[in-house]
Amino acid sequence: MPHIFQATDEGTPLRRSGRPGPALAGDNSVSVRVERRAHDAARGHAVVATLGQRALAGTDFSLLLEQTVSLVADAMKVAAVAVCEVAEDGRLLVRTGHGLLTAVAGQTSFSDDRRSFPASALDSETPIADPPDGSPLSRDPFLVQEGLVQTVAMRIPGRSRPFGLLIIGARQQRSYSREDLFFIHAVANVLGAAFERAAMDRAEEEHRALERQMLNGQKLESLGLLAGGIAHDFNNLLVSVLGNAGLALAELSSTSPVRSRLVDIELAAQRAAELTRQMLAYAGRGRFVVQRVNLSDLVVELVTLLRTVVTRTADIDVRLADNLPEVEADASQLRQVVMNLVTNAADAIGGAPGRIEITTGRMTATREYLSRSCIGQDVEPGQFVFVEIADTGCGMPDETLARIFDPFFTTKVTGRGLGLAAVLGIVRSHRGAIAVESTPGVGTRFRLLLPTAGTAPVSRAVPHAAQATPASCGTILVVDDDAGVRTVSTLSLERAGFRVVTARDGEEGMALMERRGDDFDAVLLDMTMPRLSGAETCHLIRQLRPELPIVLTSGYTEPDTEARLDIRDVAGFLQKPFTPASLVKMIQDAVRRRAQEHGR
Amino acid sequence: MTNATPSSILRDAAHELNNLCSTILGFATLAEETDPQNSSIAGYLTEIKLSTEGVAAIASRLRELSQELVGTEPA
Repeated sequence: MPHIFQATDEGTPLRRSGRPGPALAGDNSVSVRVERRAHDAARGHAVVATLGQRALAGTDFSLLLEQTVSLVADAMKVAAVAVCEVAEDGRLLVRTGHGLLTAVAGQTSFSDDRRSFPASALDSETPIADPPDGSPLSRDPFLVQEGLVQTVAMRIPGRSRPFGLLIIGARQQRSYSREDLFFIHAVANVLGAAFERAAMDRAEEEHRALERQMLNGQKLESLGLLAGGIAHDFNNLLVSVLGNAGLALAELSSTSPVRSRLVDIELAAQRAAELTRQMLAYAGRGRFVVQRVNLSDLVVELVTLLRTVVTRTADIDVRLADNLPEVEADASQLRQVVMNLVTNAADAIGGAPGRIEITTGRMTATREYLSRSCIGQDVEPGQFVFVEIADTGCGMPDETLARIFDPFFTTKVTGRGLGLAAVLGIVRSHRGAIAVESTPGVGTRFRLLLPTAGTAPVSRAVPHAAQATPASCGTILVVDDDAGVRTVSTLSLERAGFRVVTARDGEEGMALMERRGDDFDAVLLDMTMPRLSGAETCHLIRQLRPELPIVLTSGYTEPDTEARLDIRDVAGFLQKPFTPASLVKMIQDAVRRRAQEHGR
Repeated sequence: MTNATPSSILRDAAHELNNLCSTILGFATLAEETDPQNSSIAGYLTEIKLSTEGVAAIASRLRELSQELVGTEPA
């Protein structure tokens, strides 16, 4: 049974020294005592009213708790006041305190054993005092440690359960008056309302965060559909622009004044292609060729290129980890990520002397670490490899940092604001995370985390460009539903010396394969076609001619399930829009490799 | 992704594409005017202009979509 506090009508609090009031010290007449009690009660009411007002005004909860313990200690002239909260694990955790000697807020806790004081107060609707000698209730050792000899505890009420305790302690013998008890009770009630409000605020914030997460997901989904929907037609048109520009250039003499116009057309078309590619990447729809990638190797391959985007006044410092676990990723997209981040770092440094550090490594990312990251809050904790790009550039204020992944947000004069948006999409589609730190005037640090691949490494089988002089003879089957692409591809390949047979879709392509499959030396196969898709056509061709080189081409990727063709099954992948030169080279390489492998 | 909305992204993308289309069409016209007698590239330039107009049509559709989305998106 809890010890119910017995208030005294004649208690010593009415004689507190130094306390302002109408009575003189030593004057203990009945009228003076009554007057002092009235004064104490009025003062208590004023404190409760002040706290209530602050709670209603939405004062920061932690600040309100601090103000409460301070005001209560002052009003009651007691040595120590603490607010304890019932933690999720049931412990009575000291949330904030005034005059405590050893307690640490957020760390020190009382026993949650209801047979001990002050935990026993959680079961009482009225204040509970220290148990008297001989009581079956034990006293929490922490009270002794704090030197508290006269303590009162009052539960902080909540709708469904108590939030915690308000504990008042004295280090000298004293008693508590009825007014003191009313006061403690009233303060605990105000605290209960404040705890309730804080819990509602927390729930509301969690709800808003969930809504934001869903909204972002919807945005990405709708953008992905839109970007994917237009990319196919859009890139086919750009193939036509780039192809015809390239073919026209081939017709002109090296001194023709028209050449520069055509080169400008090519540049503009390539910029349009880049814009689509970044949009697709942002929407997470650009992923195509998944393979095992070693991040350190990837950075090594890029270093020479990276140095070209950095001014001479800036140094690139590369620190790569050995024996890094591989990740399953689209290598070309990861190159784009590193390139975009290094370009940003170089821009942040500008023409001033500076340093860019590129570091790779492995790390364990906890849920807490991931929850603090800019992207990847919903990623499962575990083993990751990382590539970090840090610069000593101008850094960013928080308001800029909050928007850097927004498409078309840029602080650069000439930027399009798609670089980091693409990085976001790529990392998200690889189920990775990004942590960003930036300090204005000091620099910025991007750390990109990717989950490690689960099993043993396999050999990388990305087709490499041919080193020998390419051959340009043989017959190529071009399967594409877009007339412009078929025309440009045919003209480009014929100019290079190939014979070309075209098909308008996968079914027509398979009909040709069945009739004269042995005639073909390679196939250029579009991925997105009506009736029979590129992936299905590829599968059927493999059954007829397992050794025939197939070069896939696409303006965008289908959903992963369909597009997950093993890169080792095809001779190469040509991203639309492509130029005549890149098409010819890809086909030449495929034909040459096949000839070498089969001794032809 | 904190402030951008699908409508603003589409609007900006359409703007960029229209600029690029204008550039391509402009250079194609200049190329024709620079050497009007060169019949060997006339067909290629015509194809370039036709394809670019196709891109411009897509950009126009994107802009329309962005306008349709305005007002349907949460702030």
